[in-house]
Order: sequence, then structure tokens, then C-alpha cells
Amino acid sequence: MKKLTKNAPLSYIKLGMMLAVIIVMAVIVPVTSRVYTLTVISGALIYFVACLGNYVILGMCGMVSFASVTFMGIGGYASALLSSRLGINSIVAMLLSTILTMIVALLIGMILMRLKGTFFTFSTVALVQISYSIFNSWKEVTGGPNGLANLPPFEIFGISLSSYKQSYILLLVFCVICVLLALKLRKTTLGRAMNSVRDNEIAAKTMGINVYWTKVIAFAIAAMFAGLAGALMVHYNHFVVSTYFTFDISTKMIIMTMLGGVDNPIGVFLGAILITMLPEWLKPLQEYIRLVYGVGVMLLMVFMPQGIWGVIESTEKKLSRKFKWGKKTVIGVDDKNAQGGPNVTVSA
Amino acid sequence: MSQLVLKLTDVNKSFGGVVVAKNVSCEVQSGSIFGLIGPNGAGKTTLLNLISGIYDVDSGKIEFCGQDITKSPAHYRARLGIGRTFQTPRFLTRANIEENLMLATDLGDKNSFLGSLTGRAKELDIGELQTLTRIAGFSFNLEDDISSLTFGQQKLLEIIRAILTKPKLMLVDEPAAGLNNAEMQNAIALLEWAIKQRDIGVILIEHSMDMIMSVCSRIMVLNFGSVIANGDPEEVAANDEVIAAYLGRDADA
Repeated sequence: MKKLTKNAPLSYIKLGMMLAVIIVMAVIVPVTSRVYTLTVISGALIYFVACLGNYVILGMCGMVSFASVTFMGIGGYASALLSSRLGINSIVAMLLSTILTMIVALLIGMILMRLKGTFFTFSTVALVQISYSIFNSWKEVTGGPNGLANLPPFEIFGISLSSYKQSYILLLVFCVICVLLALKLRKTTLGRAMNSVRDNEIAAKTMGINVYWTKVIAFAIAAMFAGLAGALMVHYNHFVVSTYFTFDISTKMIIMTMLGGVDNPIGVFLGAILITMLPEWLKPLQEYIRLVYGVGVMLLMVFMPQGIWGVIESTEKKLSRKFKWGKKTVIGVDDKNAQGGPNVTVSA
Repeated sequence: MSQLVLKLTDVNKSFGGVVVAKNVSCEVQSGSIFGLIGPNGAGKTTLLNLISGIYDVDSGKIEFCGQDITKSPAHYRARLGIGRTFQTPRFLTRANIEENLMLATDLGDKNSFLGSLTGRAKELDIGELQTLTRIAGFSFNLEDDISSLTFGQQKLLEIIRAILTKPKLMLVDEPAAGLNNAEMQNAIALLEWAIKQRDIGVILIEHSMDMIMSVCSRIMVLNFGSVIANGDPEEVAANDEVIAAYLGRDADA
């Protein structure tokens, strides 16, 4: 028995679009942009990595968590302290602090995941406030409102990436790795388990899924992305201060995730870029910018609850139904081959 | 070669003051269908929830293949081999049919996370799925959304999903409700395939007496949480208490 597949023209279009985005981001942006634009886009990339955490916990597991800034903070400060006080190579420090963040999140998640739905969400809001006051007040370690300055930049094999362009390329590499990880996660047993917890907890249980631990692990993976983003941010800016990790930033990242489309990492990327660039593009509006922003978010929730990527997906579905594009694996009785053995037919 | 898969001993459960299971004891053999009937609100679905671990029992003992599972959580029981379908199908609504079925094969084939992370994403075993879907008598595209199926097809697919988890015991809750006659025959065929080819023990809740009488080898009748009859279809059909529970008793009887 042979399983035939045929890709739709659309999937090539999508692939092409992704390649185009990577080329634009990797070649055209660094060559043509001014330093200011480059730093703004770098900021978007850092938030994007943290938003991938939101994609895991909110998009895949269905739990609304505001805690991403808390874990950005933990990852950021940990990396800053490891590299500046112990003199560890910044990349190694970043990876260590990412793992540390994951462990902390696992412990916090084990407590918070005993709460259901909205109660969990509120507890993460509380967590953000607690962590902010710790970052702000524990002056001996975090530097408080003055922050920690002169932190080491990214350093690979003894080469220090001090220019903005070099750092930007490194950020891009981390983004690509994280996107691939997030995409792969969806195809694993764990990814399916998370999806089932999101859609129907009772069905998940009868499919042998430990709902509690699936949620805790999703929370820890989300924290891993956030922790890495925090560490990237610290070494990119060579500086860290408690105001990087306020509740405002957390809300901004939730909006990025929702605007782009919570179901897909590429959607999250669009959201992160848009939310970061909008204030730049809308500069002429001056003080009305927050109004535009607020109304925009409301309209978004009404007209495209699944975000930009949701709109792209549903258009694609309509088109492929109309033109009979796409892979179709027919299972069961097939009119033409009703008498034949087991078979798989493909209509394309 | 049937063996004991499930044994309930004096199972009790009440919600507040409402008793939904009162000293329920029964035994289910593999390779046969055990019918569970009773008027609405008799506690049939609750009993299935107690067996599958969605509710905890107040007292009593549940043994599965000789192992005491009274205190085990629901997901652990599912891993031991208790499959389940629901009155209204429960699927992942935002995933396609393939992902829904792969969730079942993950359990049935004991796919590990590391295996699925490092190896190629394991594909669905289409051969077996073909056989089952043919018996179920409908067809679908693996890539379509679950919502593209009708209600009846979703109920049949839920039975298929339960079989794909390779259970030893399958709890089937009202498979025929909302199905037309042809679909009902297909549901029966699926259950019979499961007991004959796989030696699965099936507990079947159903209101359609035709279906119950034709497929079950034993029938238990519940009313207000207590067992009023337990035996062969003929015995149960002749039982006065059963007739009274279903049809009401004469005022002067």
C-alpha cells in the first residue's frame, strides 16, 4: 500500500513567503536599515522569542498566562549575574539561565496549575507583580531601579559581537532555532497532548494524558522561551533594569501573540513585528497613538479572534476547497474502489 | 477464552443527597458485550465515569484484570486499557481528524515523547484505520476538520478512536443515540469486530432495546443507582421489576 501525497500550490506559496521573510530579515534589513531601525527590529525579535512561550502555553495548551515577563526577568538577571560576576561566556550564561528559568517555572507551575482557568490567570498576574517588586527592591543583586550596566555582549568562540548588525544576526539565528523547536513540538506526542488538554480535558484523560503534568510542562517550556528572550535582551542591551519586566510588557506580549495568531509561530512573528513597528509608523499621530492602539485591539478581537494568521488560514481553506488543492488522504468507503482492498486515494 | 476484565464490588457514589450508585457489583468478561440499561437518571453514565475514573467512588472496590484501580487517576486507567466513548462526542475541535486519531495511537502504541521528537513524526497506521472505517461505513479525508463530519459519523469515529487505543475494556455510552438505522447497524458491526477480533470486553449503555437484546450476552439493569436485575437477555426481559421500572406498575399490583 502506498500513501500518495501531493502538495498544494498554496503550500509552495507559503514556503516561498517564509523564505522571503528570512531573506528580508537576514540580508535586506541589516544592509539597508539605519542603526535605530535595526535596534527597534531587534527588540521585536527578542519579544518574539518570549511570545513563542505564549504560543506554547496559550495557543497549544489553552491557558492564559501573564507570567512571561517574570521568567524573562529571571532568565535576564541570571544571565547578567552569571556573565558579569562569575565571568562566564555570555552564550553559555544564556543557556544556563534558560535551564535555570525552566526549573524555577517547573516548581512554580506545580503550584499554580492546581488552579483552574481564570484563577490560574489571576495567579500569574500576581506572580508578575511579586517578581517586579523583587526585581525592583533587591538592590544588592538586581541593582533595583538603577539596573546593572556594562554587561558583556554576545561572545562566540572568543569573538565579541559588539556591533548592532552582528548582534542582530545572532538574534535572528536564535529566532530561527526557536521557531523550528516550536513547530516541531506540535508534531510530538507532547504537542498533541497539549492540544487535547486545550480542547477537551475529559477526552484527554480518557486518552491516557496526565492533564496536570502536561500543563506544568507546557508552563515550563513557555518559561524556557521567555527566559531565553530575557537573557538575549540583557546581552543585546548590555544593560538590565527592573522596568523591563513590568505588567505592561506582559500585556503587550499577549497582544502580539493574539494579533498575529495564537495558533502558529509565524503568526506570532507577524504580531511581534507589527506591534513593535506600529508606534514608529504612527509617530505623526503623537498623543492619539494610544487611542488608535486601543481601538485597534478591540476591533481585532471582534473581527479576527484568531489573529492575522487565522485569517490567512481560513482564506486558504476556502481557496483549497474551491480549487480542490491540497493533500487528501481518503479513508474508508470510496465510491470508485468500493470493492477493492484497502486503498488510499488522492484527489488533488 | 474469555477472562475477567472488570470486577465491581459494592460500589457506592452519591452527589450530596442523591444516590447515583448503590452497592453496585458486577463482572465483565473479555470478548463479550455487557449491556447496561435503565430509565433516564438511573446512574448508567455515572457508573461509566466511576469505572473510567472521572469520578471517585465513595466506597467499594474496582478491579481491572485483577488489579485494584479504585484509587487510580483517570489517565492511568486509560493507559492500563480502559477505552471510552461519550454520549456527545468529545474531540479536539481545533485539530484535524488525523491529529485526533494520532492521539489514540499515541496511547495504543505507547509512543514516547523522545521518539516523536527525534524520529520522524510517526505516521498513522492507515491499514487498520481503513478496515475499521469500512466497517463503520463512511469515508473521510484525514486532513479535514473534525467538524466536517456529521454527528453520527463523529460517534462512529469515536468508537474507532477508542479501538485504536488498544483497550482491554471499552465503555461505550449510547452509541446509537442520534444515529439512523444504517449507522446503528454499522456501530453494532464495529463493536462486534472489537469483541471478536480483539477480545475486548465492552460495556454498552443503550436505550435501543433492539440493539441491546441482539448483541449483549449479559445485561444489568439499574434504577435510581441500584441494580434491579443482572443476567441473560431472556432473564432480564422476563424480570417483573425491570418491566415495572420501564413501564410503571399497576396501582393495584
